[in-house]
Amino acid sequence: MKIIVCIKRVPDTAVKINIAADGKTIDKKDLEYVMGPYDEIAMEHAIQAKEKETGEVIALSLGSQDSEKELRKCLAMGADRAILLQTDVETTDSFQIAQSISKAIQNEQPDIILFGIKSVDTDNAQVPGMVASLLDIPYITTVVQWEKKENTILAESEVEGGHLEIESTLPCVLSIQKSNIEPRICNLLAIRKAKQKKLDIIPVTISPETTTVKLELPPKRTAGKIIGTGADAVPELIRLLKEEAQVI
Amino acid sequence: MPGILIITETKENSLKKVSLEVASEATRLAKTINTNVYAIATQSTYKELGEYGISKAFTIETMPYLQEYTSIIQNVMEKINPSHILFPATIQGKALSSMVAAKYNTQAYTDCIKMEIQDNITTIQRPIYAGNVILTAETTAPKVFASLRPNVFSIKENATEIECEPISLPEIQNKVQVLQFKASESKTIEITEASTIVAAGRGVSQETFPLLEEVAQKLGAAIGVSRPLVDAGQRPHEEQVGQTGKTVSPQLYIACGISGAIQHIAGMRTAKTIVAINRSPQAPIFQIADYGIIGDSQEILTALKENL
Repeated sequence: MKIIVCIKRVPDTAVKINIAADGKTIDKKDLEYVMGPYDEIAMEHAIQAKEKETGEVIALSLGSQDSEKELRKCLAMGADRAILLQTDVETTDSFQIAQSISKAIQNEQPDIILFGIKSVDTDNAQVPGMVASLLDIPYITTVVQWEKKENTILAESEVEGGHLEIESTLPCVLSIQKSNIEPRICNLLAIRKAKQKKLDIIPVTISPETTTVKLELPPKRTAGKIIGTGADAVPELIRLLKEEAQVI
Repeated sequence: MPGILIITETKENSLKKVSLEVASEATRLAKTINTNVYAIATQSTYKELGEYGISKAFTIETMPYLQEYTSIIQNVMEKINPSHILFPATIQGKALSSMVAAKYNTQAYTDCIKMEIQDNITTIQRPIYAGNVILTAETTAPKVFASLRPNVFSIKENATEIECEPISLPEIQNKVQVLQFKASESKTIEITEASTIVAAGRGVSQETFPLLEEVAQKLGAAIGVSRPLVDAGQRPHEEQVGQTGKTVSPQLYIACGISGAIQHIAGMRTAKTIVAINRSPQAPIFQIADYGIIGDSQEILTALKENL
């Protein structure tokens, strides 16, 4: 079984995001980067699958040279090798990203391709579906657990109001949703070993954005009124919700 | 003038509320560019779309899974050559938008909160960084694919005569099979579509949860939780609101015992009215709440239950 896990280097979700002076990009000063939290869970899924059944796990990322750090983390978690599709062009055009990733995947011919459900920077949740569509293979969304059968995969997909049990042929693309599977913490030995593992850097061409983009902070919410303390304040809250806010 | 195509979604044989929101917004946009709105819907639900300005529906018996559905949408697009293809920003809608857009070598915009079309330029607003930043993009793409965030666009009636053209399912090799659907145990409303949410954080003990559920039921509300309750294994991830959970925009969000970490606020800051209930007057949640009560969640929930 050959699994490719696609990961992305993203700003840490605990860091406050500021807009740069050009009004079109994020201020990179003081930003800290991590592997996308959903991507990290997807990587854990792949490693656990490999531990159950033999196979190869490849970590793949598209981004700047700096993404090597996140790929090394994948190698420390247990991936066998890594591929960096290297570009310095930053884009929010998910189609261009999906195109480059599809080409790389085609060269590898994996059985299963895993993504996190979305990257927590652009929040677009587009690349997995696009890659499946470009490769003309099935796509199963928001998977919380899955199992490889002989020539198929059995996956549980978390959707609005419940779970779908889905069977698909291979190869296929899964987007991994957070569940009770937690990414492992790597020990020093694993981190040292990861430095020896193969990491291929393949330059890719991404045309710069054609659309004009403006970034703004959302309208600020201001603190409202403290109605009071304890249960005594509840009748007044209900009155305000009914008469002033008109939401109940 | 090429039309606008909307993809609808149903639940238990009726259109989801978000489908009506997409229909209403598509009708509003279509008027500004003087064109028609077409829909893909199920045979049993399409008629209602006439009330929201849809002039023609392409109908299918049931909604198939993604890959098959993608080729249905492609078939319809070949018939009407639409300029804008709008989806609800649900799990299915987002996935379909990406899969169909890729077939037309273009990107799709997820979770749009505003859209305008003028002189062949489409302007789109969408939240990024979990709603901490709003991105405005302009595109002149001949086909614009976008999914619209639930609970953002208002539903407006606009009765029109609706015709229907049944279409058959494509004969593609069936690579994916949905074996079964297991409905969630909780009977509450789906959180991303709920107009009221009662949410719990660390300040709500497990023993208090039945009380919180009763209050939610009285309000017709969905239940949300902050990340610590999910990480502690007390509540399912489906209920998590925030950066690594759901993003919600209800009319009313009641945050009980939630301090207000930035990752949580990112997921609910667009709620119309926010109520904060917290023991600590210093809790950051009060900085963004419209109404606040300082005190113990259990005591205040009990009073809410009695007074509602």
